[in-house]
Amino acid sequence: MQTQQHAITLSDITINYANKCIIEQLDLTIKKGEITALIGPNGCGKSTLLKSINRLLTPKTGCVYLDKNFNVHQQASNKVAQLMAMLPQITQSPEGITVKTLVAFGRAPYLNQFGVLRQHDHQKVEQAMQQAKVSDLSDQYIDQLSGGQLQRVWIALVLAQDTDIILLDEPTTYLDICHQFELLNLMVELNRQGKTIVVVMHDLNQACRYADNLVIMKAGKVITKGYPEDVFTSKMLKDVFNFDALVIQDPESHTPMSIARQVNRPHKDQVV
Amino acid sequence: MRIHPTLFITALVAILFCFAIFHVGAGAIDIPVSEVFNAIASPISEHYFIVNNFRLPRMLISMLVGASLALSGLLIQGVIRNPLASPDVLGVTSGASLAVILLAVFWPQAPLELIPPTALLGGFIATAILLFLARHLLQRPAAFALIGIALATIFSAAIDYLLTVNPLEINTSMLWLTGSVWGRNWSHIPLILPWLAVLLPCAFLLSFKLDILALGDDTATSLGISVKALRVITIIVAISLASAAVSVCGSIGFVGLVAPHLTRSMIGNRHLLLIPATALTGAILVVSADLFARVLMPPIELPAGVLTAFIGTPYFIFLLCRYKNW
Repeated sequence: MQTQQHAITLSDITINYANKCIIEQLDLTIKKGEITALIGPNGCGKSTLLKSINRLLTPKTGCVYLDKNFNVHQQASNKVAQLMAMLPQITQSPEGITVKTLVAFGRAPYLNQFGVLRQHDHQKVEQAMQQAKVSDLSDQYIDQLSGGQLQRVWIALVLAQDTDIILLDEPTTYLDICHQFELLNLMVELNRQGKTIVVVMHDLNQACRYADNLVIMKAGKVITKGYPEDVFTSKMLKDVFNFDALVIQDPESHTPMSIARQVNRPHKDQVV
Repeated sequence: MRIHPTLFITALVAILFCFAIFHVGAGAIDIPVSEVFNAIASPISEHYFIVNNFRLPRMLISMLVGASLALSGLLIQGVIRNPLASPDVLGVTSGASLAVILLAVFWPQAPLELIPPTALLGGFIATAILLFLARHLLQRPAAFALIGIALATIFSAAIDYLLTVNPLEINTSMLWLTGSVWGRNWSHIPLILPWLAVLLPCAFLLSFKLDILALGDDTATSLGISVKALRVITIIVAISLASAAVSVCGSIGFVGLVAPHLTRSMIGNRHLLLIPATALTGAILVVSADLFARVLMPPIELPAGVLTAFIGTPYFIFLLCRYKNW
């Protein structure tokens, strides 16, 4: 096992949910210091896989290692939380707390029983808010924020956790297009600072543009993985997504992108 | 509306103090406020006997019971994230009461010390039944609460039945189980005070973790909380608090529902502050309810539980009407 290169190693993961097998005997390694995007059709198990990496689900068999001897499912919960942070797809923001209070919860894995922040923790919280560009919102109540602002505040919470690995579960789903790209650019910025990022994405062209690696899943299995240039092909789109598309080069980023083919449909005049 | 937490808690202490003085002073023999301290402290006072043997313990019991029930409600609402939950709505207190009545029917000579563990057993069995029946409804607060209400009704019916068919076995001193602090004396203090002394610090120890749990199970797990363990421990603490209250005065309704809502709306969602504030609010509710229950139409004394229900039930209906996430 090459722990220098691999941030996360999954071996022989099987996950059942309500007696249905969601993921079967899956092996996967995630490279350190890169952005890895998990893509696949609905119900392929990509979110489930992300949840099992972060202990939100316990796999029936198999292990998730962050280091040779560090199986996340057997370690103390707060120890894992010092190494790996996650932004869930749906976040619950309690009413009546300020941005700063929410972000400070990111320090939880380092705090005592009563959650008293020390000088060092305050610094980390400030730093995280700066990185996520929410410092000026610091004293606002979170119920007053817009969707884009709120998502950035949650990113700040994840950053305050100060982990090398960050998992993001469809972070752009509820954002409009401008805030989507703002968030993805922030993700790249964090990656440049050395964070390993695993992100579940819905938009294939965004995944190709922003991820170093694609992991393509279907029906609980990894179909293929690799650089977008290598694995993102018309054939793959047809096989995995049942999507008839042309793959061209994104004129802006020079990464692959898909364009849906025009479906043959009867001319208006022919419809009786 | 937000009030500074320290100010709010100080105000609560002051209000509780005032009600406590009036509570000790009011009754068949009115003791003026200025006389109350004298009556408590000096044996030569003409009211010394009545105050120290009847009114003071009853007032203290009201405080302890109110604090326990309110705290229990706060913890239950926090841990299952259900604004409609409280020990009485979910049937925990009626389950505990039923267990105590059964003890009284089948073993009338049972020592007083056996009451709290019996109540606790009843509370846990009621909770187990509820969690089993509603295991698929945990995410649907209103449906969950409805099953609790149905269970509470069954338990209450069983209590009424037992009280009616066994009038001789269950002597009048058992009638307090309908939710009254009438006739409580010093011997009842040890039934509840040690529980509160142990469980209140436990609640404080859980406070930060409960704050994090409010961010959702997924985020809490990511932040290093063992969510399942936290749930189990918190529910045990909450049920123990409610059962301890039941073992001295039966089921006093809606304190556990109303007190946490009141304090949340005033000082927000941080449990470290909510715990003392909610305990004080609960104490005020029961002390004032028992005070009004005695002075509204003397010489008739209403059970304090009747008064809390008069305030609490409309509030519960209000919550149900306002509640959107069915």
